[in-house]
Amino acid sequence: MLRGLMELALMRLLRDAPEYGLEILDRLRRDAGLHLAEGTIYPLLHRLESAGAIRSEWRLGEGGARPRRYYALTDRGAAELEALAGEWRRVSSALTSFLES
Amino acid sequence: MDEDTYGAVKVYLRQLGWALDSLPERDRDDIVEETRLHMLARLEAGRSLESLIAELGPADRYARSFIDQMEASSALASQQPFKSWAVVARRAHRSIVAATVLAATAGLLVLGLIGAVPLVLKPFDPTHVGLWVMDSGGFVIGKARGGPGDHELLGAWIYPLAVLDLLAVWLIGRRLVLWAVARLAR
Repeated sequence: MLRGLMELALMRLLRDAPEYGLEILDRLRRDAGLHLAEGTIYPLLHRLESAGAIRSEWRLGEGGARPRRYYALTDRGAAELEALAGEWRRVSSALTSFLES
Repeated sequence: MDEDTYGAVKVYLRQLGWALDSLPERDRDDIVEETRLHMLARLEAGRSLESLIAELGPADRYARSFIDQMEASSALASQQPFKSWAVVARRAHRSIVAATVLAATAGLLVLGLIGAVPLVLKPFDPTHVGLWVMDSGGFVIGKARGGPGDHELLGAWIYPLAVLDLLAVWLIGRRLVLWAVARLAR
């Protein structure tokens, strides 16, 4: 289930703007409250890229900074995000009702 | 960052590159470079190498997480049952889903063979091959001597039934394997 949530949060994050791996990991920890280990994010990014949900490109850093690989959501990824978010809302709403019943 | 630390990073990355050997060169190089940049950024921010490597895991295990994801994803995208089955078979010792589906496909294979045997043999020996009810009790699918009291039930109907059996085995097996690989890819 955590994998599904991580995927959902990651695609939501990339909906706003392209980001690189380290920043994605830190923002998922900080903004989405996910407790992710260092090594979990890149395999997921590579899988989503090979599935066509995201794409990546290397960008040179400004002012001599190291290059970074930026990931961005594709149209297919945006459609998948919408479907996943809808499913999450449905499950979350049903579970909340159940817990409060 | 001191030289020892940088040396240890290089060793980790070299081991990672070796462990990723089964991936295409471009993917391998990207993963190693991205890991290098990630490690350097963390170390420069004050993280200790020991805690960083402890969280990433040993290089071969970290590499395995990429290979698993990319193998499953590639099989899923191809929708090829045999490629997907190979992924399921390789993961069977580490995944309950994969192990269960592997066992189920083995059962389906047996059912498929039961259907295939009469289909192949009956044209060569139409008298003795079929679905037999034996005088001693029990059934035989395939070749029987056909002694007194034994009788064959299906005659030529065994052909369409065997074809249906093979078709059902193929369709169920294909669906099962593609479902499993979709689960493994997540």
